[in-house]
Amino acid sequence: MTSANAESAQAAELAAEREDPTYGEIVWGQFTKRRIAMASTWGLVGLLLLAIYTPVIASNKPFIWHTVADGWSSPWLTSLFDRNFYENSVDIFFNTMLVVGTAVSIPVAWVFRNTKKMVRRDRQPRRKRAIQVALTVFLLSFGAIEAFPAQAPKKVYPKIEQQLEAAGESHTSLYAPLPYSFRDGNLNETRQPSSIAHPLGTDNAGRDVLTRLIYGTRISLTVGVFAVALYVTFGTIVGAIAGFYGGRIDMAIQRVIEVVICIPSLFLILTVASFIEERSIFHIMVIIAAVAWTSPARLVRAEFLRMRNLDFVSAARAVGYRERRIIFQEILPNALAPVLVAATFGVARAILVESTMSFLGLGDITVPSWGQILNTGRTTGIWTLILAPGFAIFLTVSLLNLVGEGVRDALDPKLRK
Amino acid sequence: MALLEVDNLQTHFFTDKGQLPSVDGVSFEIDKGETVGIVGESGCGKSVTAMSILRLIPQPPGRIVGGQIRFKGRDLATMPLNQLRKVRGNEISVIFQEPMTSLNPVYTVGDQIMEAILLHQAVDEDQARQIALDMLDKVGIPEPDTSIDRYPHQMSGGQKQRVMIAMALSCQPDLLIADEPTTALDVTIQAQILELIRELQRTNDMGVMLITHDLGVVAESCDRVVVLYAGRVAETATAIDLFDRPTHPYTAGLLQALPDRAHPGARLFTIDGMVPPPTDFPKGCRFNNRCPRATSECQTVPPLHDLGEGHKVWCHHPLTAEESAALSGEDA
Repeated sequence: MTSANAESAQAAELAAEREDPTYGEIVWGQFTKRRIAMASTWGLVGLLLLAIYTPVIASNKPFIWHTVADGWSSPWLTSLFDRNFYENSVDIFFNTMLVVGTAVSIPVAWVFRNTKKMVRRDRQPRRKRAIQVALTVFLLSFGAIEAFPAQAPKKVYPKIEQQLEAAGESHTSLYAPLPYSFRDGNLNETRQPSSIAHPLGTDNAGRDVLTRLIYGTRISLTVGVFAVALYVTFGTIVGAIAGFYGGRIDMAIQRVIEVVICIPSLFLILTVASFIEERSIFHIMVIIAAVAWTSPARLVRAEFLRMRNLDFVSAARAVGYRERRIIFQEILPNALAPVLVAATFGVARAILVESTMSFLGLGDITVPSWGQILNTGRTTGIWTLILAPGFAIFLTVSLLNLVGEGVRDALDPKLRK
Repeated sequence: MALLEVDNLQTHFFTDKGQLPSVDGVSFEIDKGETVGIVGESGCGKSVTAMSILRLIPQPPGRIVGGQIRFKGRDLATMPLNQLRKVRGNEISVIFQEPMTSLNPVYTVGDQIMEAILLHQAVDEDQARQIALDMLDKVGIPEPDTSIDRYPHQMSGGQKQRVMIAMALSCQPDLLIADEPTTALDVTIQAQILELIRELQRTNDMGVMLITHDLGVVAESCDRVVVLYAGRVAETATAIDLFDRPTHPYTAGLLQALPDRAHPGARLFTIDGMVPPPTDFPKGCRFNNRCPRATSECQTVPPLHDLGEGHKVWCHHPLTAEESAALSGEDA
C-alpha cells in the first residue's frame, strides 16, 4: 500500500469514527452498558448455538462410518435432512441453519469485516445487501429441503455396530459425544440413573435425558420466537389500523380485543388444543398467538393515537404519501419500542405456556419439548426428568426476562447512563 | 386566472359540543409569484384555512362542508384523493409551524427529502440525493454532505426548519403554504428564513401563502393581506394599503396594538376580550362583542365595502378615511 492510500484509508477511518450515532446505535450503546442484560444476551446466544449445533453434540448417526461392505460414508451428514429421522420441520429448520446458515455466515462476516472502516453511507448498503443475499440463500435452501424431503431407510447404527462386532467384522465409526437419538430409546436401558454414558440417566423408554433436553432447546426457542413473531405481527397491524383511523374502526377493534382479553387464556388454549387431533408444534404456536395478540395491539394503538396528529404525520400527508406508507413507514417505526420490550417478555411467556400445555398432555407428543419431558417425569417419578427440564425452563425464561429488562431500560431515555 | 382561488370555504368541526364553524365562508386569491399574508389572533381560523387547502384537516372531526378551492382551475375540495396526492408536495407544499416535530425522528433528513423527491419526480436515488444536497446548500445548511446523513435530533430548530423548507421546495411547487414558519424560531433566524423563502420564491415564481400573527412579518414580506377574524374575512387589501388605511375596526385594533417607538413607555393599546371559541361566535358581525364601534345594527351580517384596488371590508361601521389616516399617522 502506498502512503497516499494509507492516508486516505486513515481519513476514511477518522470520518467513520466522527459519525453521529443513529438511534439504534445509541440504544445498543445503552444496552451494552448493562452487564446483567449483556450476560443474559450471551447466554441466549449460547442457547441458540446449542439449538443449532445440537446434532453435533447428540446424534446416534456416526459422523464417519466405514465397513468392509459399505465403504466410507457419513450417515450423520445425510441424516440431517432425512425426513425419516428428523420428522419435525423445526429440526429440519435448525439443521438447515447448521449447514447453510454456517456456510452463508462466513461471507457475511467477511463483508462486515471489510466494511468496518467505511463511512455509514458506504457501509450500510453493502452490509444490508450481504444480509439480504445470505437470507435469500438460506430461505431458498430451506424451502427446497422442505419441498423435496429426503427419505433414507431406517438404520440404527449402534445396533449394526454391535452385530458387526459379534460377527467379528472390522469397522470404523466416529460418534457425537452423546451417541443417542432423542426419539428412539434402547429398551434394555430404561430408567437408568446418572452415569458417564448417560449424564442425566434415561427415561422409561430408555432414551437419554440429556439428549432430549438439548433437542428440547430447539423446540422451546422455536415456539417462543415464532409464536411471538406471529402475534406481534398480527397485533401490530391491527393496533396500527385501530389507532390510525380511530372512530368506528377503532371502536370495533377495541371491543374485539376486550372480548379476547375476557376469556381466561389458559383455559381457552387447553380447550382449543383438546379439539385438535394430531397436534403439531405449529398448532401450539398458533393457539398461543391467538390469545396473546391483544397486548401488542393495544400498545401499538396507544402509540398511534399519540402520534397520528403530530406534525410529522401531517407533513407526510402534505408530501403526498399514501396512507399505507404513512402507517407502516412513517408512524410504525416510531411506535415499535414498547412492542420490542413486550416481545422479549412474550418469548419467555410463550415458552412457559408451551411447557404448561405439554405438561398437561396437550402438547405435540412427537417432539421432545421440555414440558413433555416434565410430563414424563410426573408419570414415571424419575427425578432427573423433573429437575432437568425445570431448570432449563427456569434458565431460559430468566435469561429472556433479564434481556427484556435490559431492552426496556436501554429504550428509556430517562435511564440513560 | 389566479393560481389559487379560495371561494367561500367552510370547514366545520363536528364535536360533542356540536358543529363548530371554525372557518365559515373565507374567500381569497393567490397569484403566481405573489405573497399573501393571512393574519389574525390565535383561534381565528388561519391554520384551519391553510390545512383545508390540501385537505389536511383531521377527519373526523373536521370536514370541508362548503365552498371551493380552485387550484389552477381544479377544485381541490372535491378532487379524488389519488389525484390530490399528486398535488400534495409536488404542486403545493406546506411548511409547518413546529420544526421540532415536523420531521420524522427515525429517518435521516436526507432520506426524508429524497423520499419526497423520488415520489414526485422521475429520478433515480443518486440524482435525488444530488437534488437534496443542492436544496440543503440553498437553504444554508452548513456542510450539506455530512448534514444530509444527520438525524433530526442532531439539528437545531432553525436547521430543522431549513430542512423543512428544503423538503417543501425540492419539487419546485407552484404554491407554498407556510404556516407560521418562524413562530418557533428566534428573531435572527426568523429574518433569515423569511429572506430565504422570498429568494426561492423569486427564482421559482411561486405563490406563497404566509400565515402569521406577526404584523411585522406581514409588512416585510407580503404583497397582499387577508385579515381573518373568527373564521371569516374581516378585511383584505394590499399590504401597503392595509397599513396606510386600516378600515375594519379589528384591523385598526391590531395595528394600534403594535408597540410604538414614538411613545416609549406608553401603555399599549389592547383589543378587549378574546377571540370567542367557535362554540359561541356572536350572531351577525362576529366582532360585535369586542368592537368599540358596535351598535344594534351589528347583530346582522355585515355588508361588503369595496374601496377599490382589491381593498375590501366587511363591516357596518368601517373607519372613515380621516379616522384611518389619523390612526396610521399616529402609528408612523
